[in-house]
Order: sequence, then C-alpha cells, then structure tokens
Amino acid sequence: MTTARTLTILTCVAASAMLGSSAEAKKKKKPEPAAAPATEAPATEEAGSIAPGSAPDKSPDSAASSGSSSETSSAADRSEKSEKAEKAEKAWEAAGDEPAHVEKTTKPALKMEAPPPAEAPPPPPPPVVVASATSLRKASGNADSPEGVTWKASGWDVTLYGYAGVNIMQDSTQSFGTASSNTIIQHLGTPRGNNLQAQATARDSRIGLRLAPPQLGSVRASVNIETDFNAPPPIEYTEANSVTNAGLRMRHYYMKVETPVVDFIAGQYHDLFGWGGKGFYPSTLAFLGITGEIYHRKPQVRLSKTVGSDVELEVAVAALAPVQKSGGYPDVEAGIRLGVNKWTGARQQAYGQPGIGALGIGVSGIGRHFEVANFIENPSTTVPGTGWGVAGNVFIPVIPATSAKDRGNALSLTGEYSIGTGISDMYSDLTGGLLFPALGNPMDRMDPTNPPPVYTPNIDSGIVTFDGDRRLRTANWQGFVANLQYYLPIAGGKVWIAATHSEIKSTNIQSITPMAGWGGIYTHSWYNDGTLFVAITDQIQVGVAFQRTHQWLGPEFNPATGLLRSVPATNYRSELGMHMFF
Amino acid sequence: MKTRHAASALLVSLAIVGLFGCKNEQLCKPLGACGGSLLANATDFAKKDGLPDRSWTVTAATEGACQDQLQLPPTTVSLARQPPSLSTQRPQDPATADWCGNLVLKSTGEVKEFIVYAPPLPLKVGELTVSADYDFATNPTGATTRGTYVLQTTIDQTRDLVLSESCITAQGLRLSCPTLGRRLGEFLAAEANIYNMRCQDPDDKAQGGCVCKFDLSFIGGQSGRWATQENGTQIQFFENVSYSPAALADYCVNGDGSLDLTGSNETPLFNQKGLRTMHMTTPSCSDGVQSLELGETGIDCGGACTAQGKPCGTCLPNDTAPGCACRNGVHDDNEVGIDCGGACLGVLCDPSVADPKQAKPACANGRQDPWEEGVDCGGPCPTLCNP
Repeated sequence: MTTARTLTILTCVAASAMLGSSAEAKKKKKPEPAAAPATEAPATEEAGSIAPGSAPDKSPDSAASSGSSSETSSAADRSEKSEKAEKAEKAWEAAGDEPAHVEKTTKPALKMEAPPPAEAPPPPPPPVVVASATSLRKASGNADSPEGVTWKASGWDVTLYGYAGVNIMQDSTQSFGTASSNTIIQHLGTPRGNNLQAQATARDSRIGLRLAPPQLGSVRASVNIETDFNAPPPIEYTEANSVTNAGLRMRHYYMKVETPVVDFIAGQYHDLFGWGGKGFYPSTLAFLGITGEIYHRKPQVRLSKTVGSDVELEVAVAALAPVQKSGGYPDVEAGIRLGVNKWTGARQQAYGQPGIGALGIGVSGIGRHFEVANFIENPSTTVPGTGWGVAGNVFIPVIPATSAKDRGNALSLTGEYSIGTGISDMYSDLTGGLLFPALGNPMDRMDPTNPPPVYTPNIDSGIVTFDGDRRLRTANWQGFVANLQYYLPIAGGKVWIAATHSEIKSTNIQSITPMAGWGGIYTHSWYNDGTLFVAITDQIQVGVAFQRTHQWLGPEFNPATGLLRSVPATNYRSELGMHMFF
Repeated sequence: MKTRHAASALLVSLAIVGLFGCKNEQLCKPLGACGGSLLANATDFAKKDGLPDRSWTVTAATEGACQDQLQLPPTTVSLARQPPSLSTQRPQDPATADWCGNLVLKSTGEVKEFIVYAPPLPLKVGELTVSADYDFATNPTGATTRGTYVLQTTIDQTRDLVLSESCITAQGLRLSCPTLGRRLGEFLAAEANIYNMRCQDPDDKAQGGCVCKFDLSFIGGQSGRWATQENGTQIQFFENVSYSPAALADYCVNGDGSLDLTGSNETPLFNQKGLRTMHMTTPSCSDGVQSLELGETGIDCGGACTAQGKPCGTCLPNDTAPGCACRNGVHDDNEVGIDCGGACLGVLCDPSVADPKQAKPACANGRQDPWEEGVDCGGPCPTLCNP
C-alpha cells in the first residue's frame, strides 16, 4: 500500500512536471515568431524537395534482447501522390525502414538547406541545426508519422528521430526488470514472490540518425544508427548505475543499398526470422518482446527483392552472426512476405506513434548449427547440434483506415505463431529456467584447493542442454501472439485501446531437466494486457496498461494427494508511459 | 483548453494506475490470531506431573497444514567452493543437478556413493502437545503463559528417481534394474528415512536406464519451551535440541477447541521450511493420528478409542509391536494394505491390487514383480534370490 502511494506520488510528480513544462512552453511560444524563416520550410511546401524522415523504431525493448518497429510502405495511395512525393517516399525507403503514412502535400518538415555545392575547394562542413526547440517541433510537424526531423546537408538527407519518455510500472512480484518478456516469475512464499515492486525508467528513450546520400543513378543508399540507454549495467551493480547512469546501447547500425536488381542490408538490424521491423509487432505499452514474441536483432547481411506494387511480394535471405561465437557457421534466415498495399489500416507498434500499414502476411524460418563444448570438466572437443524455427506473421486491417490523421473507428489485428528448437534466444530473456546440469563429483572434491568439477559452456544458457545420457538436447518452444488495436471515433482516433494475448510453451524442458531442477523451470507462460493510449498532442502520447503474466512452473508433489502438479505463478503489472516523439 | 484536456487525461491515467496496483494473494492465507487460553479444559495426560496438558492434531488429508511451494530452484552446490573469478572473466554459469546423483559403483556392483535428492516434503500428520509449567502452580487462575511442548510429525511420500543408461554403465558395469534397486537399497539402509528402493526397466526399454521409486518417511519432531507474548495473540516456540532461533506464531483457540497457528510476519512455523499455517483440531478416534492425549496404541485405535469400539487389531502370540500391527493378517488403520505400507515401514504393498486396502506385501504375492530379481526375492524384498 505504501509502495502504491509512493508510485502515485512519483507519477504525480512526473505529471506535474510535464504539465508545467507544457504550460511554460505555451507561455514562451506566444511572443515567439511562428517559425525561423531562414531554416525551415513553409508548411505547404511539397515534400518532394526533401527527404522525409524515416519511421524510427519506437518499440522499446529489454536489455537482453530487443528490436524495434517500423511502418510498411503505404503504396496504397501511391497513385494519388505527386511525383515528387513518390520520389521522397523512395528516398525514405532507401533510408532503411519503410515509411508510415505520409501526408505528402501538407507535410511540413524542417528543411535546412546546406550552402550551395561548391566546386572547389570542398564545401564547408554541414550546417548545424540552430533552430530553437520550439521551431524544431513546429517544423518537424510529424503529426501522423514518426518521421523525425529532416534537413539537407551537403546534399545528404539527414534525419534525426527518437523520443524521450518514462515508463512507470508496479508489479505484484519482484520477478521482472522493466521488461517482463519471458522471465520466470518468483515462487510465492519467497520474499521476491510475495512483495510488490515499483520501477520507473527512462532508459528506453531513444535517438536515431539516418543519413542518405544523393541517389546515384538508380542506386539508393543510406545508413542508419539508432541507440537507446539499455546497455547492460556494469558488474558493480547499483541502482544508480542501472537507472540513472544508464549506458548507451547499440540498437541499429546498418547500411542499406537498393538497386533495381536486389536490395542489400549490412549491419545490425532486426532478424528476418519473424519479419522484424516489417509491421507485425503488437500495440502495447509493454516493452517488446512480450511473452512468446520473436524479437531479436543481430549483425547480418541480408539480400531481398520486392516485386509488385498494389500487391507486393518480398523474398529475403540473410546470414547472421552465429548464436555462439564458436559455432563455426552463421545462422541462416529466409522469408517471404506478401503485402496488399490497397488494404490499409491504423497500426501502432509497441507504444510508438500510430501510422498506416498495409495488410501483410509473412512466413520466415531460421536454421543454425551448434558446436557445444563436451559435457566434461575441461572439454577439448565439441558436440554438434542443430536448431531451427518457422514463424508466420499477419497484420490485418479489419476495419480499414487510409489516413493516419483520421484513424477513428479503425480496427487492426496482428498475429504471430512460431515453433522451433534451439532458438530460445529469439525470444527476449527466454530460458524457461533451463540450465546445464551439474557435473558429477565422484571423487567428492570439496576442498577449496580442489573444488568440485564445473562445466563451462560455450553457449548461453537456455538454448541447449545435456540430458541424462549426456546427449546434446535443444529446447523446444512454441510461441503465439495476437493483438487487437481499436481507435475510438474520438478526435480522429487520438484515443485508442489495445489488447494482447500471447503465450509460449515448451514440450521438452521438463524432460531435459533433472528432477531436482524442476523448481526452477516453467513449461508454459501466458500473457495478457489491455492498454489505453491517448495522443495528447501530435507528439506526446500517454498510455496506461494492465498486464498479467501467468506461468506454470515445474511440477512438484501435491501435499494432499502426493501426485505431481504444476505450480502456478502470476504477476500483475500496472504501467503508465509518457513519451514525446520527435 | 488543450492543457486542461491533457491534465484530465493524465489524472485519469494516474487514478487507473493507483487502482490497478495489486499484490498477489498469499498461497497460505493467514489464519485467525485471536489468542485465548491454550490450556483451558486441559488434563494431565502427558507428563503425569499434576499439571495440565493438551494436544491438537493436524493431517494433510484435511489440508490442515499449508505449506508454500516446496520445490524451489536448486542451489548450485558445485559453485560453492570455486575460486573467485577475475574481474575480466566470465563467472561460472549456474547449473541444476547431476543427472546421476553422483552414483559410483564398486567393481563388485556395490554402491560406493549415491546422493538421494530429497526436497522439502509436505507434512502428512502431526500432533502438538503443550504442557503447563511450574508457573501454573503459583497461578490458580489457570492463565498459563509458558510451558513445554512436543511436536510429533510424520512425512511420508513416494519419490521417483530416473537413472539414465549412461549413469548405470559409466563405470563399466551394467546391473539389471532390480539388482541396481537392491544395491541402492543396501547402500541407503543407513539412511533411516528411506525405504523400499526399487528399480525396474522403463516402459520403453529402448531408451535404456532404470526407473526407480522409493519411500521417504520422516517420523519425528521437535520439543522445547513455549511462551505466549504480552499481546496475547502470539506464541514463541523455542526448540531444545538445535537451539535454533525462536519461532513466533500467531494463534487462535477457536470456540470448537481447535487451534490455528500462523507463522508471524510470514516466518515459517516451528522453523520448518515452507510451513506457514496449521489448523489443528482436538484429537479424535478418526483423525488418522496416533494421539497421545487419547492414549491410542495405534492410529485411531486402542486407549480411549477402545471404548468407542476401536480396539487395535488382534495380536498374534509373538507380536510385540505397539498395536500388534504388520503381522496380524488384517488391514489396520495405520497400514496402507494388509500388513504393508504406512506404519509397516519397509514393507511394500502389491501395487497390482486395485483396492490398496486389500493389497498384501508385494514380496509375498507369489510372482516376480518388475523390480524383483526372482519370484518374491531380490530388489526391495528382504529375501535374496538364490545365485
């Protein structure tokens, strides 16, 4: 109760601070000129002359595994666009993620023209943005898509995007960090299982930069870097290190080249498995990935080819960094995606800004090879193993919408089903409690100078283990995610609700864990949430959510019957999130 | 106007967050803490010292005792004595348990070493007897606030054990599963709480290894001193043997004479791991407990129960055991079958009989069970098979 009161006070302080600053901004805004004429484009200027900012990933994530969202191409209204707008969209696509809905004719964007190209000597360095915060906000005008702030510098399109915000949550157990994801819930009867936990974090605040050089013939290139503050805390762990002095973390660092023949991505980006970043993430205030959701990024080289316009088909294949550094072979992923660009609906990814997305269906797969150190004390050999997974994704605009500015009464569904073995790292923080078994100690070594034998694995826990016959076994998992988002017919859909059901279960984690370890595993986890979002202004969003995670822990004997039974564990989380996007 | 809307939205959000804040319900809900006199209507049956005694019983069958989830994740024993890792070195990963329980076989087939996994187990039955102390003599009102206590508990459960093929063959021997069961039983004979170790081939023989079962029975308890606290709703239980810290319990003597005990501040009752609450009733001849207060000589028989038509079983001439059980040829209340199981420790009942109460000892059923090396011999049977 005391904690709840503290949380309320915390949120009140945060709210008053926010309201106070808005009021202050309003006061300041009055005498200020409407815009800085020298540095920004007029509101009615056609977007063709600039590169609209790309849709940044707005999905927050956990420290261990993460990803982001993006918006798929809104080619549905392509025929209505001016040639310049289409050109701009191409440039946007070239820049990395696909764009959200763009109001091409009225889209204001900060345009900071660089000095005219000089012949010789080379041009001076790109100009620095000098506009005030107010003018930047006004100029960016990203009312319906998170396109960031874009300007031209030395002929390059430079886009700065991101958001600042805070997530405040209270849990009924002390099981989770800021992301609940797939972590095991603490048992009732333990201090962590019995007591409340309140957290507040701004570590998911994000900043991204996208740079696109002038198009060279029909080849478009861009580079994208994106960071947040979810770097793992240092070993000398303190709350200050973890919460206040959070470190910068690399999310996306990649280059993208589009040619008439094939598109090419090199760098760290969403996995192709699960079609990350292609508009299949659920709308939720929870940090992605939620229970059972594929959500992963890796350094990779990806080739893809998209054909079609109204109905587009994308085929892609990627080679990624292996799951273990001594794996010997890269992970391989492949996928095929169908988009119906004339069938669009409102779409929010995690708690990002809603945009417009086209009906999409994706199928993808992953294959990988392990070389796991032999299960002995000082192994010099490895045991080979194989992991694989298949995933299907859908985004269905049930009640379509064509404009992000008028998305009232729109209803959209996202879904994902995945199955595989040896792929638990594809799901955020998932081990299910699976560990390697302990080595036997037949010599009864207990002396500190001759300690018990220990197995040192060369792969992260939870992906594989050794069974009673010392055979390498991979953990089987099946995940499922369904999400509905409905935009109320209020103020053009600026108030909306979202609901999620997801689950993940393993068919073999119990059989590959020694009985003594059953108390540390779960076999099935179930997640539900409901969220209310309000777009207070075009840039500021507030969300309130209630989330329930229920797990079936490893079985124990029922005291009354003496029979095995699964032990239930539940965590309830209430969450408030406030974010301002740029 | 816009600011006002924003403020309203935020306030609504905050209110919702405040409302949603919730806490998990305890698995074991605390029982009453009304206090009361422990020794009201007590008689001198235990210590025979002229001071009153009183007892209560509890059984798992009536869910009288509530214990928290018992099977917690294991502590990684193998990491306990490792040298500290360097700051730039990845620390050792935690691990679960050894699949083979450190099984070591001698070349003769005898077991040299084996560690049985025995997690905290649920309480089956218990009886708490409290006695008044010398203070009572100086306090004629009977408001006794301290004395001695004895808690007798029984924990009884059949556990599973799976040994893989590689565990058995790792040392160059391949004992048959019934023989392995016998060898393990011989090795564990020193463990007073483990009975009827038996092993058999798994249903799918191709997977190899052995599937074993054994019975864990802990009969014992603790004794010491108790004292009610000044607030009149809590009791301290001090333990005499290990001198562990005093266990504080909230208590309530109900109108029907039953006693509710709850570990104070979520502490375990009697310092027994996971034991949170006990609803204990006054002893009866049908509670499944051999009551000291009723002078029962077996479970729910003899003593005061004889007058209720529950004498203990007919004794054979050379029976000397209390209640004459385990050799009388009939099913007694403290047995699972006929002269087997339950109080007949180490005598396995024939599981193939549908009605457990009609089951006879498995080692006398005239056929070779899967865990026996011959007909009614070897494995868990007391009789060795002829070589």
